[in-house]
Amino acid sequence: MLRCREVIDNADQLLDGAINKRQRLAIKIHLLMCRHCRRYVRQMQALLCAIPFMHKKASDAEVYLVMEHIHEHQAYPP
Amino acid sequence: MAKNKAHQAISQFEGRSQIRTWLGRIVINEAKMQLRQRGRELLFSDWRPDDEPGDALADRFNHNGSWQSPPMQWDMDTPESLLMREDLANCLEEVLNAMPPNQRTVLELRDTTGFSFEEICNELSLSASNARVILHRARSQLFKLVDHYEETGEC
Repeated sequence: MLRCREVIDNADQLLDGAINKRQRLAIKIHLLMCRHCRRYVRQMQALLCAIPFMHKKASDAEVYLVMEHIHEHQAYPP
Repeated sequence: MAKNKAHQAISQFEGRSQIRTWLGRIVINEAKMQLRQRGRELLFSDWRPDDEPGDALADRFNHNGSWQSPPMQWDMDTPESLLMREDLANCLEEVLNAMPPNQRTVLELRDTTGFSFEEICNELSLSASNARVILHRARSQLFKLVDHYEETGEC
């Protein structure tokens, strides 16, 4: 039986889908019985979806730099 | 007609994929520059798990590995609601900015830019196990912050 600590250490791989069947089963069995770990995994999943949007709006200079590179890329494709 | 559409779709796909790679390259270059500027910090390839403070949630478990201080039930448990609170969003950005460059880079590449683990390991000359440890530490810091915010209403 996995301990909570082990489940949390492996939760990243579970959420990334990078885990083998045996490990997945062991974690799923633990999650059926442990509401704290279920809560951790559910909330971590929401957090991961929010991470790409955590950055503040880019400054005009940053937007200009990116657009310039994109235009350059379109003008001279590799 | 179908051939034209397919061709268009392929070139758009290639364009997006290249932009993603290019954005990832910016993240990596920025991180390497920061590491050089800070001087004392180790390059990715020299990194060992003991080189930085451990998992931000380590003290939440007892010696048996069970929760001693379990996570709070978050009111904001969807990505949208997490980002709605401006004060929390500011705190999350602060934590991102204060992260060791190793953690920030792996987090940005995996969770913002969408690089695969294989790509991250290749680009940063990291072993898969070290990359996993670094990513877990970065994500744990963010989780701890939100959990604390839910408990106290402050960062």
